[in-house]
Amino acid sequence: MVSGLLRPIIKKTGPLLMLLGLAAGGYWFNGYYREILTPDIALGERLYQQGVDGGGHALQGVTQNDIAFDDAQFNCAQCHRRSGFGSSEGGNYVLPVTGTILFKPRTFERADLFNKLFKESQGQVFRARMRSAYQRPAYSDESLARAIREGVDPSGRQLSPLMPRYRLNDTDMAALMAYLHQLSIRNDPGVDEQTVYLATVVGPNVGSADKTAMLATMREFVEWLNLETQGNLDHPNFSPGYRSDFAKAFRLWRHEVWELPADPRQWPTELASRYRRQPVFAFIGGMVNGDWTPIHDFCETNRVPCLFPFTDLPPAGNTNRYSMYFNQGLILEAKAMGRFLRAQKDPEPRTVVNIHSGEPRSSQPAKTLTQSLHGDKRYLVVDLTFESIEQLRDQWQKLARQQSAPIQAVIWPGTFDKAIAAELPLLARYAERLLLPSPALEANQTRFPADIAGKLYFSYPYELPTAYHPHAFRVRAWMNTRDLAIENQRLQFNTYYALNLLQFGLEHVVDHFSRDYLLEYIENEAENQLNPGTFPRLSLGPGQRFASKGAYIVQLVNNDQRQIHPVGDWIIP
Amino acid sequence: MNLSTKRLAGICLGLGFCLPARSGGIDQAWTLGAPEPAASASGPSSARKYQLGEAQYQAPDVGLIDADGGGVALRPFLAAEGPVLLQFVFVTCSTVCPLLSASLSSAQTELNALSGGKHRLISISIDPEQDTPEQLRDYAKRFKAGGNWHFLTGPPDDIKAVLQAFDANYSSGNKMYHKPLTFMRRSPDAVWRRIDGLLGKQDLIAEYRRTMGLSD
Repeated sequence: MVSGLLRPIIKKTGPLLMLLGLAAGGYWFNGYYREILTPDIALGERLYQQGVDGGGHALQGVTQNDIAFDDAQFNCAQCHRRSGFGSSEGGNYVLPVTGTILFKPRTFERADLFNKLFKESQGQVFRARMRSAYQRPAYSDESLARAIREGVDPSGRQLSPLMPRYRLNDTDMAALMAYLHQLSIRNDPGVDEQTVYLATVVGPNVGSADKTAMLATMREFVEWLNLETQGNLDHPNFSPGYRSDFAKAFRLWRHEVWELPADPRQWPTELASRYRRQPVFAFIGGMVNGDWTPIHDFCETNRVPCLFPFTDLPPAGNTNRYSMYFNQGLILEAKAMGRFLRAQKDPEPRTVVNIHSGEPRSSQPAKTLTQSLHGDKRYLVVDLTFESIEQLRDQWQKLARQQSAPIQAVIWPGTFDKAIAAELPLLARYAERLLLPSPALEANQTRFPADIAGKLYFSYPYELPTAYHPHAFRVRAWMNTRDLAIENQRLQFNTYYALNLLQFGLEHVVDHFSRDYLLEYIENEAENQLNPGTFPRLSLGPGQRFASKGAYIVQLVNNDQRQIHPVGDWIIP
Repeated sequence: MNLSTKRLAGICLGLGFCLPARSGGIDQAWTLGAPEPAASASGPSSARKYQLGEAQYQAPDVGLIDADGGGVALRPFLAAEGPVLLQFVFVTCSTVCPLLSASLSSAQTELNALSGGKHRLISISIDPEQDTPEQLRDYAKRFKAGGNWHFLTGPPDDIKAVLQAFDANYSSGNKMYHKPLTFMRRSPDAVWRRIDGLLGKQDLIAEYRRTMGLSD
């Protein structure tokens, strides 16, 4: 009886119910097995960038035909770089392995090879190899796995012995394939068909002279570069030096100044909100009166290159992939001072009074100095902290009278760098030597008291004023011809250096607007781009983030703070 | 044109195209050889991918610094008895130096057996401002360096002098363009052998044997 009633219902709704049942089942099946069937891109990234497989082990394989390795540092990113666009080093060209390039037949884009063919100073063998490139069909997952394991490409050729042959299990290989399929297949944010967007971050309370000097230099540079770019865009058929090959890469620079609000706690939100409104491809230069760390962290989180901001306290110990700095600032100066003190021959014990306030620009280098003297039995380091100049005077007098050993005082003025000059006679009365960082030297336009000049030593992480750098003439001429007042030569020349690197970097990446690729170019070329004479040497390398690595210790000449002479060689701590 | 003239014209045209191609002009663009023969196997029988040379290099009289921070006067250091293998590397190098050092690293055991522990390996940093003794220590650990493998850094001008002395300068003064060089010398009064290129483990050992005058 029931079946009699049900049958017509089932007849009508049966097929529909079956379809619904299948759909629900499929949905459940998909969700449940998705984790197992979809390769893990995160694992692929770990393999590629860190050389660690799914079991947490280092990559294993063979390189150069017979050198077995078990070493996470033989990872893909080591040679193919994080961007996947490859490298050319030591006469070897490492091919790009981005998703677009691997999974299509090989193309021969002169624009991509231009630098390697015409601009890099490589040897004959390298050039011959560049010109003897051969065709290969697109990789598939299978043929790429074969290439990685056995070193044979889909045209049947052996890969160079430089390329390791890896031992990877199928899960790891699938993960790596998934990662490579999506590696650098899209431009990074901050660039569109006509424009590349750049910004400079400026904090509140930055000295207006410095701010103007930096921004005026940038304005001139961007204006002249855009004129040149627009000229190239307007005349696409005028192609000296293969210029038309690069037409797809031309972008006008849109450069904005991001002024930060008064309260540093609001900086992260301000940066985030401006970035949301208009993402930038990179930050260039920048300065704040205080801690640069919030901007550094923003760049790390959002993976935005932050090129050569002006800060004397780059964050130490934070992860740093995206920020490049001229040097390690006051930390470097503290290390150099420590080196200088350690190198003193006198075996007599001494007290080093480490004078600092609570602010980071004072306390952090002070801590570094203490660490750098650790273990040297001659030096007893005593901390003297102060919040005001009066407090400094009081504490100094108390402490100095207590010491029996000769005193060397190291003073980290922080925001007191102008006020500190007046206190030096008091400090000099009880100390045989006073060491100060370079901001104190530069902040004091008035002369230091003549009778204590012999006791004053400054750490100085810059090129000496008497040194000769041919490119300085070129940069000065560039500024003079544009009627750009040179109010702060070091600052402006450094701004020019940073802009120059950015310009050449953007030219080099052609139309592959990958931020990692830009950074890799800058790492490679920082050393032979024009050094405008602000530092003895500026150089980077894979993974390096501080372009200048040393400092002098200097004294005043004839008590004229514009004239300094070094008391030893360039110190590399 | 009559038919025979057309035929003659056709033959001339055909020869005009083919002859230059036969002489290797045009078809070179399309039949470029494979960089390596498809059947190449590892081992000494495969084509050598590095270049050899010999020269008398005079080390400059400079003071370098070893991985423990101690001073090393280079000239007397190199003038000590025994075979020496020398390379120029830098710690942050991505492509070439890890392979140069890996070739030495992998060959250490066999080299020790061949030399009775009397040989020395020397790696000199060409990025001395970055490669402090601490950096060199980490690098040495990575390549499992034995006690007779020395890592040197020093003042940038002195390092430049050493590069100059070994004819190992690189263009533009940019270390990224350095050459993958390995130098070997049997004894202080022998000539330096210069190997330009990357070596596998067997290649390195074979070249060492040749340097020492041992039979292959």
